[in-house]
Amino acid sequence: MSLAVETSRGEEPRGARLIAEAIRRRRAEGAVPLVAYVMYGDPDPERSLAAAAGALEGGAAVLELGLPFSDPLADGPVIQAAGQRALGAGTRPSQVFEGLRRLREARPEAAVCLMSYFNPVLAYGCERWLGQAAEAGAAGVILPDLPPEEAGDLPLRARELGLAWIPFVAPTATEARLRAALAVGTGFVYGVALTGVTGASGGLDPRVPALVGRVRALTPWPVAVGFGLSTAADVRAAGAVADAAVVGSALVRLVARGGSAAEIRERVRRGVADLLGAP
Amino acid sequence: MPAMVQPDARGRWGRFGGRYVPETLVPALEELERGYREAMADPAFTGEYRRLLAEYVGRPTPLTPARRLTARYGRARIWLKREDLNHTGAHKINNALGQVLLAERMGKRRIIAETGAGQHGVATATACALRGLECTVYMGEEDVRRQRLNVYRMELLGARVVPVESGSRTLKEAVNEAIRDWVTNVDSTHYVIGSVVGPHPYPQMVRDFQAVIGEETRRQMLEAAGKLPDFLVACVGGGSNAAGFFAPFYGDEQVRLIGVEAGGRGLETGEHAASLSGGSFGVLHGAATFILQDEEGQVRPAYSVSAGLDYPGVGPEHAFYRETGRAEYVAVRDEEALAAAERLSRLEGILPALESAHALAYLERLMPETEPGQDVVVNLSGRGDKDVEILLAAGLGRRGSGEVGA
Repeated sequence: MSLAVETSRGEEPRGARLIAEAIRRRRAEGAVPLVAYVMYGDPDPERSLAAAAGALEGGAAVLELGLPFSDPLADGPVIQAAGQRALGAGTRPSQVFEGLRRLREARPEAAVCLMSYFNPVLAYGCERWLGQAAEAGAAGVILPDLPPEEAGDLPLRARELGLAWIPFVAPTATEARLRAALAVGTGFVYGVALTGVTGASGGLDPRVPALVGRVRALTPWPVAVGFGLSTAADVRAAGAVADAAVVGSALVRLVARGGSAAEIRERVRRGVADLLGAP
Repeated sequence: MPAMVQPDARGRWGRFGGRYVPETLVPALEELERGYREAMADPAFTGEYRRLLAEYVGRPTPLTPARRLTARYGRARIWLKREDLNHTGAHKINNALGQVLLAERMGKRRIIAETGAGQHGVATATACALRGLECTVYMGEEDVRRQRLNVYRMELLGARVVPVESGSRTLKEAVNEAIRDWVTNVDSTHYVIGSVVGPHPYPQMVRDFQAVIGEETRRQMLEAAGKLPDFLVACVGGGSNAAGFFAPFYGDEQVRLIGVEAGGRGLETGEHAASLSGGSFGVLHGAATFILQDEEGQVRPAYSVSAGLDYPGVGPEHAFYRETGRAEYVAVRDEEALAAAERLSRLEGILPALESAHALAYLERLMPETEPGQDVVVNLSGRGDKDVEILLAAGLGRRGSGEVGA
C-alpha cells in the first residue's frame, strides 16, 4: 500500500481522515479495503438502509451511498434500474440525510460517502446540500459529473465542513487533468478501472497500473479502483494494483433479488464477505 | 461574414453551457475541441464541407416567398427558408455531414448518434454511408414506434438502430445511452450529437455547422428585398435549426428573433416540451441550461406530438439569448401545430414537418402585430412526409375546408 497514506495530515478534513484510516486499517488486517456501493431508496428507504448496514457488517471499509437520479449518465443498466426502482417507490433523494443520520447513530465509526449526480444537488442548493451532508455525518461526497473545472469553490466549502471531496481519475487522463482533479481531492481517489459505465465487464483497463502510479506520485490519498469489478478475483486483482476496490453493481444485484429488510441485510453482508474472501 | 456570439474558453455563454460530464469523457471533449478548431482553420476541410453541401446536400436552399400565406394575414411578407429541400429532408444533414467529416479527419471510424424524430439519425446514417463509416443510432422505443419509416430508412442506409427501453423511451434516454456508448468506446468512436446541446464544444460546433442557414438567409434576403428581415421565426426543441438561423443575425439588433417551443397539451398541464417557457435552471446532458425538472432536480419527461421537439432541455446559447433578451421564446400547443401543417399544405403546397409547423403556428399570433412592408422569415426546418401517419390519426385533411373536395 501507499506509504503516503500514513503521513500525518492534521489539516485535512475530518471525513477525509476517517476514510483514509478505514482503508489503512483494512490493509493492515491483510484484507483488500472495499468501497461498497448501495443505492439509497432501493427498493425503499428502509430496506436500502438495511443493505447499507449489511455491507458494513460484511467488512466494507467505506460505504458509498448513491442517490437516485433520472438520468444517470455514468451508470450501467443495473444501477439505472435501481435508481428507477427508488424513484418509482417515491423516494425523495433529500430524505437520505435522515437515513444517514440513523445509520451513523447505530455505527458512529462508519465512513460513508454520499454519491449524487449534480442536478439534484444544484436543485437543493449546493451549499445547503453539503451542509446537510456534513450535519448528517457523511465523511465525503462523490459527484461523478462535476469535474474540477465546473466545481468552483464547492471542494473548498466541503473541506470547511469537514467533508472529503472524492476526485475521479480516468485512464485517459492527461497529466494536466490528473493535477486538476487531485489538487482539490481528499479522502480517496476514485480511479476508473475501465473506460465505460458502472457494471460493465472486461476487467481492469491495461492502463490502470500506470494510472495508479501516476496518481500516487501526486497525492498522499489512497487510490480505489472501480467500474466493472464484480467477483472476489476482481477485488483481489484491484487490491494488488491499488489501495482499495469499489464494487457497486454486483451488490445492487443482490438487493434487486428483494425480500425483507433482514433478508437483504444478510444477503448483502454475505455478498461483501464473499467478495473479501472471508467466511 | 456576420459576427456570432462565441462562448468563453470553458464553453459558457453567461452562466449557461460548460462541461458537466464523467471524467472519462473530458479528455475526449478536449481532443474534439482541438480537432474541431484545427479543422475549421484548415481550408481543405472547410472547402470539402462546402463542396459537399453544394453538390450532395443541394445548398443553398431557396428562400421562398409564401404569397398565399402572406395574403391570409395581409400584413408583413412571409418567406420560408427551405431546409426541407435539403437531401434527407431536413436541416439535420448540415451538422451530421460536418461532424462525420470531422470524425474522419480525427481518425474515428465508428460513429454513434441519438435521434428523436429520426431525422438526425437518417442524416447521420446518410453521411456515414457517403464516407464509408460504421454507424449506430440510439432511438427511444416510443420514437421507434412513432417513426417506424425513419427506422427502416436508417437500416436501408446501413446503420444499426438500437431501441432504448429505459425511462421515458424518447430522445432524452437515447442521448443518455449514446453518451454511455461513447464513454465505453471513446478511443474509436465519435458521437454525433444532433442538436446544440451537450457538453462543450458540441453546442458551439453544431451551431457553427448550422449557421449556413442564417448566413444564406441573410444574403438571400438582402438580394431579394434589399433589406434585412424584421422577424425570424423558428421552432426550438434542442434548438439547432433556430441556433443556426439566428446566430448570424445576432449583431443585427433590429431583427427580432422568435423561438417557438412545443407547448404540447398546454404549459399549464405540465405536458409539454417548453424548457425555456416552462422550465428552470439546471444541468442536463453535460450543460447548464433551462430544463424540465421537479423540485428535487429529477428531470421530467417532455411531451410533444412532434418527436423532434420532445426533449426536456434546450441549447445553452438559447438560454443565454433568452436571459439577455436578444431572442424571445414562446410556446404553441399540439393542435395549433397540426392545424398549421394542414394550412401550409393547402395554401402553399408544402407539407412541413410537425417540428417546423410549430414555427408556422405562431404566425397566427405574430402576423397581426406586423406591418405591410415588413418581412418575416420562417425556418422551414424539415418536410412532413414522416408525419403523415400522425396527421392522418389526428383526422386532418378530412374536414371539408371549402378549398379541397373531401
